[in-house]
Amino acid sequence: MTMSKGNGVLIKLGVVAVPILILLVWQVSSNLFSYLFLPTPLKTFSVLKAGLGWSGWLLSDLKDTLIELAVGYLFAVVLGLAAGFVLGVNRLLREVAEPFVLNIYAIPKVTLFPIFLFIFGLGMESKIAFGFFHGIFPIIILTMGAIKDIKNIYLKVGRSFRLNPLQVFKEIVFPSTLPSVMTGLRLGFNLSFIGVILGEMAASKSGLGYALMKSEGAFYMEKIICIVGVLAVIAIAINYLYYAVEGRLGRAHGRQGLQY
Amino acid sequence: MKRARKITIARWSVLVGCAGCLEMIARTGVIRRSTLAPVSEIVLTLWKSFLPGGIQARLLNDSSMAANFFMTFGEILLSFSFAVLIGFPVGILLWKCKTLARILSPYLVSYYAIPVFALYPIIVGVFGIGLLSITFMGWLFAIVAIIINTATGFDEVDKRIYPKVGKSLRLSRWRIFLWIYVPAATPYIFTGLKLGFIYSIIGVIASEFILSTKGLGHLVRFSYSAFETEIMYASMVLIVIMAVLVNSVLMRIEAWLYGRQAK
Amino acid sequence: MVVLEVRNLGKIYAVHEVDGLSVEALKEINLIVSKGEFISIIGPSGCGKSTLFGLIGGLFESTSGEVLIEGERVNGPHRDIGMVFQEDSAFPWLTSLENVEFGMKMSGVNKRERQGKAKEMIELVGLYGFENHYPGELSGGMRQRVAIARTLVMDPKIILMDEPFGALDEQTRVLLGEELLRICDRIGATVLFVTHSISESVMLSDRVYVMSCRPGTFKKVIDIDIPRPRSSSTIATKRFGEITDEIWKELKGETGKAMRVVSCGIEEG
Repeated sequence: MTMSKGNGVLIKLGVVAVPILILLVWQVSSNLFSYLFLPTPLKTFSVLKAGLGWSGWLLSDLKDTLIELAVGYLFAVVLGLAAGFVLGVNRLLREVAEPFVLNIYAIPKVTLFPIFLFIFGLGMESKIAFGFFHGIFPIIILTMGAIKDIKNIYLKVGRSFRLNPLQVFKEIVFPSTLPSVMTGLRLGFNLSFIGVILGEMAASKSGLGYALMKSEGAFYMEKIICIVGVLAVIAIAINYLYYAVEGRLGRAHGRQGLQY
Repeated sequence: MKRARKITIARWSVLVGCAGCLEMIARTGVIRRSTLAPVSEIVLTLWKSFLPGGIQARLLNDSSMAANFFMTFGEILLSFSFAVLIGFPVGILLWKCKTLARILSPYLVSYYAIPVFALYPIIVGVFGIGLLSITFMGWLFAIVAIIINTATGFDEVDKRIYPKVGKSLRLSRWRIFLWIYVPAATPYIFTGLKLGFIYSIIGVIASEFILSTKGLGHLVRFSYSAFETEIMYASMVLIVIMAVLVNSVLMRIEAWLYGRQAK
Repeated sequence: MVVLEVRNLGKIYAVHEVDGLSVEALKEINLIVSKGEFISIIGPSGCGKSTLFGLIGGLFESTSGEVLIEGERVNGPHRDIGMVFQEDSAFPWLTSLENVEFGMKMSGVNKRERQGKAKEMIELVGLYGFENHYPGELSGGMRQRVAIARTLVMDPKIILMDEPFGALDEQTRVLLGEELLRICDRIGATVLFVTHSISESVMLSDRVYVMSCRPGTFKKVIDIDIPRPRSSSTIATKRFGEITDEIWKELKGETGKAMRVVSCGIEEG
């Protein structure tokens, strides 16, 4: 399928047009449907600026959420990679564990949140643990799959060059599993993020999720939209970072790059 | 078949072992009763809750386990149906109109990165607490998976030889779509449906948990705050069993569908 | 000067599924390769050619006999033995140049030296200009050249090749065969070449060992007295046809045998 140059420009315009379109619809709606108490984009933006500025109303909650996210995700990465590695290498363990790990994906983990509250209390720890609990599974699943799928021929080449175990890991295992592991890390981040926010929305004393549920007073709608915006920006920014890395790896591994 | 048997035994042992440990921990009082109820009592409570008058007295309201279960399941089916109703045609639209697909691609791809639940307070603010908001959340969560997988599914068929076979047989465009594209894309579309259904489950129950008056998710929350831990665990177990059963069945069907087309 | 000597090599597999039964994959394998020779081993699929390849290369152990490289016993992958496999083995995450540098990098050769040698070798195998391409961007034939270069650059005393052109189309096979002749001539390589293609073995080698099946053993040794240098046009000569015919006669019976017996699917390494 050839793409003419003109077509490419049209697409780029289109991508940029979408948010502009949304802003326009937003502006019009807030004027037209005033019974929805929808604030104008301008008003919302000024509230956002106030929130992010010096001693803004967003800052302390944002800080708490980011800390919970970072710590929970970090644990998920370290333990997820380790568990994924072990399960990838050991066939028996993997076959026993596989249905458990795959099915946990489908469970609405929020409903297990009270258990975390019991163990960790209402503070940040329970959100950290909850974020960890969400994020670890895609990391395990994808790491496990990547290790299992290492092509035998590459290991044979490694043996023919008499590589020691450390070299085998560094020069063969690591580079050949990197793309899948990266995807797992990205999905793990997304799920950890959801876990942290859900936990904050359900029961918390601080954090963006908590702020979301608590938003009250004169600026209720503006604040909610601001918070949602901040969450979206964090999510998209980190995801694009991961996509950039995955894209660079893609060339080396003979793939075309991300589609859907 | 010795190995497969060994593995099944191992899996069940893990489950039984964990349940046994939890039972012992709860019974010996290492963890307080108010925090962890013994597994046997949880199962008993779950059983009793489906009988008339099961949990009403303890919870001091008139919701029964069955009523909550059907409420939740109904919301799941509703949100899923709407997600398919709108998602499937949109998916086809994106497949047909590649330019539109490329324009929307970055947004669709980032969709699941954003915590969709953050929109819940807004939705409740507009539609109020109740069936509409919850169903809407389930729908929001499920629809993009269906759109993406439908579009990708038909895209995949495009790359194969089958449509050309249809053309060479001089079939009408509608017939090619119905008799070649649809069957060939079915496994991928089913994956989208499976994901959509799972996401409906998660979306509905999570929303019920956060803010609602009825449903299984709400029941967990409510019994937690009422210190009725047995009922809370019973509801959790019910949710887990439901999710796992649905997921296992859907995964089996999915594997079968892909298996038929295997290379 | 004898480079490789295989004495009475044998391999017996214990088949676990069917308890107690064992399969003799290889029996009484004897061969000698002298410096500068190009030797082929030919046999139908399922005869144990790849097993023999793995044993000589030290990838796994034999149950009887021994392999000697310049008098030294082989009990594992050896510094002086290079291996080129049938499957696509160029690492997709490294460029061609980095692939060729791989062995040297693992041995601790410094960057300048190994880059220089790698560039030379890349030119020798005919991939000049493709140093910074990834294997995913190259054709199957080019990827095999990368694999060959990666092995050759280590300057092994003997190179083992297991049907390296097996996955390629006819024309590419013939062309790469010619290339291989040219390269081996240039660097004076000693090669042990496993194949199932009669024309390939006759065109490339000085001597062909014909394998028989179940258990795998050498049925006949045939000297190829076609003078060097050879090329793809050798295929059209009368002598080529005669030798090919001779080999085919030996193989015909074996191929039938291999097709009738169900392979146990034992694939080690």
